[in-house]
Amino acid sequence: MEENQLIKTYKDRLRIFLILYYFSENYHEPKTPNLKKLFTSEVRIQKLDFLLRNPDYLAFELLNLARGNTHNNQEIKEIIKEIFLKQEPVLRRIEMEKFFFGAYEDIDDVIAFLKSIELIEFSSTKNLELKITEKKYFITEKAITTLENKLPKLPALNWYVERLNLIKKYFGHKTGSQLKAMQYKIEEYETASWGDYINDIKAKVEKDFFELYGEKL
Amino acid sequence: MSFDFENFTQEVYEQFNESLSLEKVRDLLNLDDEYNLDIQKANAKRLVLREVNFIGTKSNGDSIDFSCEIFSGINMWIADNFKGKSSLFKIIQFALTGNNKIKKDIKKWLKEILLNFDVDSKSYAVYLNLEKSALSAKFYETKVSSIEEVKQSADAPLFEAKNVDEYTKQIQQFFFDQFSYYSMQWTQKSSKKDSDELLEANASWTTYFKSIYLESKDSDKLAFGDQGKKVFQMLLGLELTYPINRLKVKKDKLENQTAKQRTTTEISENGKNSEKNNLEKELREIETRLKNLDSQNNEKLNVSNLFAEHKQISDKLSIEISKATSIGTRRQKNDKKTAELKSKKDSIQNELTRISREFNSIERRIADYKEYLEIGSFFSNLDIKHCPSCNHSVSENKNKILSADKKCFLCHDSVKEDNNQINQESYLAKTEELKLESERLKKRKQELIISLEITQKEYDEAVSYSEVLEKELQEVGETAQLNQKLIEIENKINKEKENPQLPNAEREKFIEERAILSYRLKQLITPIVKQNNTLAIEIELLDFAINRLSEYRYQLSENTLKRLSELMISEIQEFGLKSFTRVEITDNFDIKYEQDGDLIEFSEIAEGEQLRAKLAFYLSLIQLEIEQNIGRHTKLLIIDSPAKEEGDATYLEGLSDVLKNIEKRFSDKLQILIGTAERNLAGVAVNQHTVPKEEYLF
Repeated sequence: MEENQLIKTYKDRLRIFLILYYFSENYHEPKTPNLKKLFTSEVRIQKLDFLLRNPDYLAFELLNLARGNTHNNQEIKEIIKEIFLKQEPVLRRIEMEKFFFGAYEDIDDVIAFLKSIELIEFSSTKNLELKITEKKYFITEKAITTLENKLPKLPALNWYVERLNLIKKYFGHKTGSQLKAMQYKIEEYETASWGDYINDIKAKVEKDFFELYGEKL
Repeated sequence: MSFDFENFTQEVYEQFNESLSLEKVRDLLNLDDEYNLDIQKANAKRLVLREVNFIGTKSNGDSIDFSCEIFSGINMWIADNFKGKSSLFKIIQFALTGNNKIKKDIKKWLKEILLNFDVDSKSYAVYLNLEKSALSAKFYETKVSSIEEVKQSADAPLFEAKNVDEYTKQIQQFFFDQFSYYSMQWTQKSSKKDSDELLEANASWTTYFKSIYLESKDSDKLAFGDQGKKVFQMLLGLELTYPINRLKVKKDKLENQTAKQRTTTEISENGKNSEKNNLEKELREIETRLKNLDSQNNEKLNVSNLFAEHKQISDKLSIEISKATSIGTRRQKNDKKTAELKSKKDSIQNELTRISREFNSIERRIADYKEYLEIGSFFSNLDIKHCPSCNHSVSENKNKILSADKKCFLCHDSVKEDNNQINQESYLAKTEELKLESERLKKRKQELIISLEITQKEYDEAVSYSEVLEKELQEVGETAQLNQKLIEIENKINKEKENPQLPNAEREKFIEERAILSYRLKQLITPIVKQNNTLAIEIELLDFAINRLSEYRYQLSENTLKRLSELMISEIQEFGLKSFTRVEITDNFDIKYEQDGDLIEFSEIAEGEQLRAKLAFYLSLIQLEIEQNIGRHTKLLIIDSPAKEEGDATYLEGLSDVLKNIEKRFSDKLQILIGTAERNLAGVAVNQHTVPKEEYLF
């Protein structure tokens, strides 16, 4: 496999797995004691992945929260400064294309891989027209042990843990549709054509940040 | 139709006939009758590589004897990364240019290279021998079928070279002659800090070769590195390109001369100052004598008061005038300095942007490798328990059997046991290499930031000094008023003197002497100004001529450039980039792309789309040549790792379509060499060399 593609496949697997792990709810069903956590809806995976892959969009959403004055503005300011200081919008950004329902990338292969090594279980509900209406992803006990044993020893991956906890803190309560609606409010996201890459909004965030805090990023 | 130099000279002369003679104008514009060089040179040839051979013995004793035929159309080498694809291209580059970028470990064992190629239908061969510390090269005007044959051949080579420099010069001359290239020039300040010399730089064959060899490290540039616009102009070969380029260099030199002269003027000023002081002293003495004489002669006339007043005012006037002149000179100098600093600042800023972009991309890669290895370790030792396709369990027994056979549980392809190990080591080694490069770029970035800060500070100082001078100038007294007063007094004195007075020979003599001294004083100051003026006019003239020529070139080539942009946009859309609607080429040879209503530059195009835009550019140039017989591209492209630039999997399909499309339309008109690790591209090219996984090309 081409090197870039290989690296991307690896990163996709890790990101999607960590999203499922950190954003799932505890699950208890005596018939399947092996399944410990549950995550619902693929849309939610896609939208959370978008925030993870685009630090500039995450910063923009945080700025929106700060404007609403419902959160600790000083804390948000420091977070955004840190994101820009580390040049994340340049160094961490992974372009994403836009399809009918916003940012989207086929994750079937990733899910199949995670399932094949039994880190997740997967089920989908179909309606009368045999259309898939809801996808459910279960985290297995093996996944939890693997993660707890291995992750602390892998420092380069710590960024994902911290970032996901941050996203969870501010946006963890939102459903896939709510996240989608939130992202569609951004002009660059909304106006991207079908199949095009969604442009970065680094400059926009810099401008808005200056307007709100009177400081340059 | 050729360009009429005499008419043009006349046109320029009419603008400047008040200050310069026709002869001088002709002399300034003269470029040894080469105004029509671009037309004389327009001819469309084609470079086709035929075969590459090289031999050597590796340190482990393995002897390498590589030989590969190359054909018109697309030639593709598919092999894993680090298995020799890039090295093959670097060997070809070395043979074609003398520019040796071959990796160290290959240089160690590489002994002899033979490259056969055609220019149009004529065969040529290059033989390079690297066995000794100095290169030895032979260039034949005929096909040479093997390295063995070189040694036995009775044919005398067209030329021979005993070292790399000599070979680089000769091969450049050969390709320049064949493809009608010449060296575009530009000027640059000497790198020595204390030197104000302006150096002439020439675009070489190696520079132009960047339009043939598209390396993945240059993926975010449309073409050809820092001298891109010059290479673009050379590839287009538009009429009047040569005189525009050369007159610009002439102008740069004159400007530099002016700057230098200012400095020398200051130095010679000191010498002149002492002469000036002497003259002024003499003048004062004469004036005193005259005054005494007059007061003796005109005791009755009470003009002495008037004289005193006159002297007082004229002293004041001369002080004010000299103040204003000195401020004027300083301001002129400072304006020039401000402009120079501004342009220096801009060029540092541009370089900084370029370096930062390169630095970021390397940092990103380092982080990617680190993550890649850790993610690999995260998912390692987790056995496949379910088939992801049918969801059936994979039985342990089956696992064991397949594992013993070294086959994949799912697809049954063979798997090498030490795959991971090799991978990890090679990635660690690559990371180390990247870190060194990153350190280098970081250092360069720091240097640029510091030099930008210094330049910015100097610039700010120059700007504020200019404000200070402006203020000083305002404070200089009103000279017109003083002048008026002087005239009034002089009139009064003259009136008084109209009263009968005996002619006095002695007085006449003093007046004469005074006139001579004043004249000499005046002469002492004017020549400097005059000389500076002439240079300024010459620069203005060259500027005017360059602008006129650029306008003519644009008029003459408007249709060509329009056609080129049409071809570009149609190629871009053919390659599936439908969001691009227009391409604009300015008279300054900047290329802009219109996407969703915005005009953007090549570097701003999404990474996943740059390669297609780049291919569109070269194919358009080549088509323009076919249609209009304009342009000088060699119609050979070497593309290293095209898929690397386009990380996105869906793009691969697109790239494969693009290549098939090119093969279908252009296979008999151009030659493309592609090296890729992307096995999905197999089957795209007719001439394809696939190396099995993990194996080396040579």
